[in-house]
Amino acid sequence: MTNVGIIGCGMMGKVHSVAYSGLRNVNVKAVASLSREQSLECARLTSSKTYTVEEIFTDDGIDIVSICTPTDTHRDLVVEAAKNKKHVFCEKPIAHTLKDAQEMVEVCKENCVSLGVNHVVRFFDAYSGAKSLMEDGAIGEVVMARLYRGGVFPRHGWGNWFDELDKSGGVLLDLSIHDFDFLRTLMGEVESITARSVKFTPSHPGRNRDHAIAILRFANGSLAHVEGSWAEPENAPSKFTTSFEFVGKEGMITYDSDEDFTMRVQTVSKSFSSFSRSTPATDPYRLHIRKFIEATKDDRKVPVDGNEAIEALKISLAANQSAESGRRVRLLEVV
Amino acid sequence: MFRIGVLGIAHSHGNSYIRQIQSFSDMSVTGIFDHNSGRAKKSSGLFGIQAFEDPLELIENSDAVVVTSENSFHKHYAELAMNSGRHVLCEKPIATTEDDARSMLETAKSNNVVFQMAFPVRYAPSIQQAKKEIQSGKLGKILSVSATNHGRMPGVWFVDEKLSGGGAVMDHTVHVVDIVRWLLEAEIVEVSAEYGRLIYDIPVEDCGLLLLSLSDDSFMSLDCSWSRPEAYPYWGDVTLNLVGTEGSLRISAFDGKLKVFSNKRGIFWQNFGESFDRALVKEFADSVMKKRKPLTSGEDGLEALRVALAAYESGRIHEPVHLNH
Repeated sequence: MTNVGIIGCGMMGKVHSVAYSGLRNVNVKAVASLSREQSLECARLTSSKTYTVEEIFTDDGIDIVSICTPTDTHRDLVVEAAKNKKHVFCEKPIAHTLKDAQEMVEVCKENCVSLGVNHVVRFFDAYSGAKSLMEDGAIGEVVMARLYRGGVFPRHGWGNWFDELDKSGGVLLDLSIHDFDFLRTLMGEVESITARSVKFTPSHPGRNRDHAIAILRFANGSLAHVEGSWAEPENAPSKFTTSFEFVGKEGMITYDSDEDFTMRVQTVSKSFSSFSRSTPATDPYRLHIRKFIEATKDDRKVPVDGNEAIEALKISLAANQSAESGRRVRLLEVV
Repeated sequence: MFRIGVLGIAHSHGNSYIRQIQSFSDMSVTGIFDHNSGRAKKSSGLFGIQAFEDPLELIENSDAVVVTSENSFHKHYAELAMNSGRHVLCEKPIATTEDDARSMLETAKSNNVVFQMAFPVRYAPSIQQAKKEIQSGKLGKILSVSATNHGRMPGVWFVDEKLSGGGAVMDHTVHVVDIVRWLLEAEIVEVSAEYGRLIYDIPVEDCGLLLLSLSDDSFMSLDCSWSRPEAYPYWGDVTLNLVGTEGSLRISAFDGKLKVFSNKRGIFWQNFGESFDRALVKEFADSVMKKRKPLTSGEDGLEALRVALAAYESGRIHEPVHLNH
């Protein structure tokens, strides 16, 4: 039996709770959160107890800690977990600065614990399916990609932290990092990036907009266009959408999450959502977490380890630098 | 009767313009000239129009001309017609150099003729409606545009830089730049670009991504790649995703379509709805009749060309290139 503690019971804490509770021989022992209400909810989902953060770290029965707190708190929590000899499964992005991320990786290494970062897009059916098709040569050598990820502003964050750019890093660091990570697995290392972003921050409460476009040039010469958005209106029927297009020398693969539903419900009811739909896709979080746990048990490299997460972070940091300066930023400049 | 001659039929759009002109009862196609007499004969047979061996003879028999020659010959044929006092509808891009384009604008002005650019997508119902939506104010101020003008690799003279002026960047930058300049009533002031020969073994680039800054502080990206594979059921697309302070707007201008799965004819998409080319031709006739500036003018052609040329420069120097206005 693997025992788990979850720290942070907001949106991702709930997602982790559901993912863990579907796994065999895995037991969520305790959850911790600054919000009494949210920790009770996660405790209910996982049939576990509510602990303080300190109690999770010092409980010798806990093997793995999931970190689901705001990005700027990751370093301290991961370092503390590692020092207490817990394996760590950390939400993405690994951190909001390179220095923090490097320290986290270093401390986990020193304490001989695994650090996995939840770049879960690799485990979404559509993305992993497209990747296998491309690895099988279905569209020839992949030379160009176009990815979109976006929707309404994530107002659910603790204290609205997504709105504070020095904490969340904005849409290029918090959201598009998923696509940056996935692209790395497919097209290799990024050479340079040119980006632009819109930032509407706390001066306009209730009207947050964050939207960005990045053009990536890879070391192998291929190109990618990545668009990330928190700028869709809150009453949009589709709250969140992802889409991609991969162009190879012998063909193309495209996907749009707005088109992959196999069931749709529309009602006049006031007590239920008037519009909902579902897809047949498997739970990517559960899959990722299962593979993470298996790797820690077998003492293997975990999927998306800290070093890979650092590489994705560098792309986001370069994108933010370019959006700030207007210049093309080479990845080597991010140090 | 508004009589229109066709100078050059290198660009396949020419066939569509001929078809649309012939569909108006008060317009006719006088004839066709192409330096490649085989090409002229083919269209002559297809549309039942006379093939001329001398472009001047065709010009003399026409009130106006459509120029759908290879890009680098646009200036020659357009000015030949303008200097005879004929109005010109010119295929995009306006020319392959800024000097050529400016010369064409001068010649049109000094001869007092209508000089219209064939930017048919501007006449698309979705683009026309988008303009109204933006003007209504419901989207607030537009902050970001991401756009595509994908296509198949056209081959033939399009991949010969001497005739085309360049590859995908030259071919597919101008449509969307023209649309966005008009929608946002703003100029492109800075151009960054990455492009390359990534898919095909051809002498020009087949893929390109542009990132543009606009005079109203918004920005836009444009994917101008010839990246639709042979296996794709359609030639390409024009799409825009506009994000404003109060909402967002998406366009896929060619998505009014049937998806056809035919054992005999294969898988393909067939469009329905109003023809953009028909509206374009009608605008040309109206502009000539009312002696006014057309919706898509030669000046618009110049501005769109400048962006494509700046994209090439940016790709060469790996720096943003500024455009003065």
